[in-house]
Order: sequence, then structure tokens, then C-alpha cells
Amino acid sequence: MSHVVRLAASLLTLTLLMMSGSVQSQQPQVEENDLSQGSHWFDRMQQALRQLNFDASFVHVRGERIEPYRWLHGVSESGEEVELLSGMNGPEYRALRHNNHVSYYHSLGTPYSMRTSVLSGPIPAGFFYPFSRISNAYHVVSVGGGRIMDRPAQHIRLVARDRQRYGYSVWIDRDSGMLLRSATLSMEGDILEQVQLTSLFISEDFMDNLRELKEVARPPLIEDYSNRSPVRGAWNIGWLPQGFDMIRSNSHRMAVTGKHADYYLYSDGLAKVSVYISERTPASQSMQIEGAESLYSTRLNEHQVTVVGELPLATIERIAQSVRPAN
Amino acid sequence: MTDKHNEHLSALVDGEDMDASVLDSMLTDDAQRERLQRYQLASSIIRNEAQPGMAIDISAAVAAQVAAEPAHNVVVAPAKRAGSSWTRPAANDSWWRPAASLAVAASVALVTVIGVNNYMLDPSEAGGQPSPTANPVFETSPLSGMASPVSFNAVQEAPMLQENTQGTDQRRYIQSYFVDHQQQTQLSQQEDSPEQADEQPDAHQR
Repeated sequence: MSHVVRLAASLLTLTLLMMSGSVQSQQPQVEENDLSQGSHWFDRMQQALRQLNFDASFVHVRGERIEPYRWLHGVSESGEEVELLSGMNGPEYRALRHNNHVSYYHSLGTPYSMRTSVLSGPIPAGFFYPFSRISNAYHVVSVGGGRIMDRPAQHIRLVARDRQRYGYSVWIDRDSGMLLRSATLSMEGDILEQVQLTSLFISEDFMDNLRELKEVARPPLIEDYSNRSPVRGAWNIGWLPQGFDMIRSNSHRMAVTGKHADYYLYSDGLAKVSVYISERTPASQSMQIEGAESLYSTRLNEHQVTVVGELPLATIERIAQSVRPAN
Repeated sequence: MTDKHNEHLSALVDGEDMDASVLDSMLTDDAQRERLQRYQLASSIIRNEAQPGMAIDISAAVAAQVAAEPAHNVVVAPAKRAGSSWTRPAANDSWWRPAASLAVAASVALVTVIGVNNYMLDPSEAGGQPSPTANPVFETSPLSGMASPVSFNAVQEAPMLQENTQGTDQRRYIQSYFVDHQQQTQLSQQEDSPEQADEQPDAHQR
């Protein structure tokens, strides 16, 4: 048990006692209770995101950027899920999901569809799945209450088990289970990124505007060419934090520059990390950038190893330094 | 709600000119406004209908974004950690990546479209027809052979950037990693469908 959780647990003893008179005040039991309460709330949120009929607005804040969105979700009488996410500033952007079919529209680009049951947007994809999917890598701790959007909210924290990655603070509507606010936190507790709902309307019934969206024609599915060629070289990635599994590996031309790279993608269910190994060119530079997404790039003989992901720089660096030619 | 009114709505959405008084009445009527919103969505969705075989290219959007961004000194350091010279994470998260919504769209900028999916209604209704002559799949390369009028090549030719091509190159280099990471992340969420599996007999390693 990490000391983070123990600390959080001891801070919360009081809250818990107030919340539930039947809880024994023995320390181990409280810890356990915080954890089970935490995963209970996380799963309640996950279900709310899949089952509620809602019309919400939120802002996404990252660094100096703030972006407003409108977010609608509903489940039809026949059990079909429809979800719409619209960016409200700048070029028009919309993502529309019908069950496991998602279409992306952008006023500056050609629309396309994908087969997936989660929209790619500011809310971490891991929030749309049960906690058991990320429990290898994270603890979830119930840390008490708060007032968010003038509603009583439950505050839970996702804490990385190994202190090698970022954590999340999430506030959940006690009444409906809806996500009201989330913040990505550095290991020092600084806020790197956040989402805050600004309006929320929950309806009993499937909303008419979503009913109409269910019927619109959709753009074609994309073909993922980038995942067709296997990795060319033989590489050994010596270290990854606990709970990271490989999602894909391939050799593809990178976005923007078109440069060829051997590629590995790992995920712990919330954070994703990409490892690129490409031949060095005059443009190759060793560099490091820390943020909600960090980047570390270093030379390995005639190659450049670059690691990018939603992880602290120190973790990214350690992954990059562990890459070696196999055998 | 009259048909006449709906006609007006349709005209408005399609960018046709209309009488100011009609527009006023529409924007002040709540029911009409709500309807307008729905029309706008359906309209933009139908208008943008993509054809099978069409390459998705929003490099123009990313290019515009890169061009609009002020020049900065890149946070580049030797591969050994330089200690206190590091800006705080949150503060340094601003200039090299496209805005989140753009990034999501950009993230598949270079991926190609295949056939019409089975959720699509009658194609004639959407104003688009699958083109039988088009090669259903073709791969594009970001730096050459792009039919698009604006590409990253064009960015460097833009006059406003001439003074700082070094910075632009560096930005492109860094952005390529962030955008590609988002692209691969988004693509990895794709669920394998039986049809797709059939179409991909070639080896996936591991």
C-alpha cells in the first residue's frame, strides 16, 4: 500500500465518520472503505456517462488555452447510445457517436468515421470504462465532498500506484453520478489540465435533437494504413511503469514530417505513451519537454529515440533511456 | 411551425441571403432557434459528406495554426536534465501543439478513407454517391503528391514565416511527435470489425 493512499486515508477519516455512522474507526478498515467507496463512485460515473440523457456544456483548460464545448448524450428507447461533442470556439468541430460508430467533422477538413465506443476528446477515454480496467495501475480514493455547479459533489482521486505518472481529481454529482469536474495533477499536485462543466441538464427521456442525429448519413470509415507494416528494426524497451501494456507496434510515416519510424504504443488504461525509433537526420534533436504530455528525445547510435505521452518527464526519460537494440 | 419558415431556415443554414426581418424573427423565437441549431448540424454533416477513396487532409488547418503561432524559443535542452531551467509543466503547455479540437481532427490528417460504412443511409439522400471509379484506398504522403492546395510545404513558403524558418522547422519537428502520438492513440481505440479483419490478411506483428 503506498504511503500516498495512507496519507489520503488518514485525512479522510473524519469525513468518512461523518458520512457513515456505521464505519468502524480502525485505520485499516477506513482505508479499505475509502478505496471501495472510490471505485464505487468511479463506476457510478462511468455508468452515468453511458446511461444518462444529458445536455451539458464544459470548458477544457490546458496551459494558457481554454476551450468551450457542448456535450450531449442519450440512450434511445431501444437502447441505442447517441453522443455529440461540439467545440464552440474557432473552426467548427464536432464528434458524433452512435453506439460504437464515431464520426468526426471539422470545418477545415474532410469528415471521417471510426469504429469505437469512445469519443476522442478532452475527457480521458479511461473514464468511460469500469475502474477494474485501470486498477492495476491506479488506486481510487474517495476524498470527501464539495460543491460543484451548485450541486453536492463527491470528490475522488485516482492515484498512480507507483508514483511514476500523473493523477486525477474527479468530482461526481452525488445525485446523478455525472462527471462535473476533473483535473489532471502532476506529482507535485500542480494542475496540468482540467475539465469543468458549466451547465448540465439531465432529462428522463431521450432528447429529440439526438433522435434526429441518429438518422444523419455518416462519412466513410477510415482505413488505418499506419498499422499495417511491422516494426523494421529489433528493439528492446527495457523499462515501463507497472500496468502498461502494448497496444500496438508498427512502422509508419509520421504525421506532419512524413518521416519513417518504428513505433510502439503502450497504455495503462488512462495514460498512453508512444515510443519512436527513427534514423537520425540533420533535423534530429535531443530535447525534453514537460507538460500534460511530455516528450523526451535522445540519440541511440545512428538512431533517435523519442518518447511522448501523458506522463511526467522523468518517467518518459527513463523509458527512452531503456531502449536498446535487441540481442 | 410552417413549411415556409422551415424553408427559410434551410436557406439560412445553406448560407443563402435572406431578409433581415425574417432572420430577426427566427433568432428571437426560441423554438425556431432550437430548430436552427439542429438544421445547422445536419446541414454541415451532409454538406461535408466524404467520398470513398478520398484522402483525409486537414494539414491546411494545422498549417494555418502553425503559421498563426508566435515565434518562441523552443524548450530544447541537452539530453541531461538541466535542473532549475525547466518551466513548470502547466505554464509550458501552450505553443507547439495544435488546439485540442484541432489536434483531434488533425490526428488522422494523413489517414485514408475506405468504403462507405453500413450505418450510411441511402447515399443519394446524402447527396453523395460512392464513386465506382475511384481507387477505394490510396495512401498519401504528407510532403509530396498531396492534391491539397495548402500543405506544409506551403507553410514554409508563406511570406510571414520567411524570417523564422528555423523556428518553424523546429516546431514542425516537435509537432510531428505530438500530433502523431494523438493520431496513433485515436486509431488504437478503433475496434476491429469482422469486415476489417477480412480485409487485412497481412501480418500484424504481435
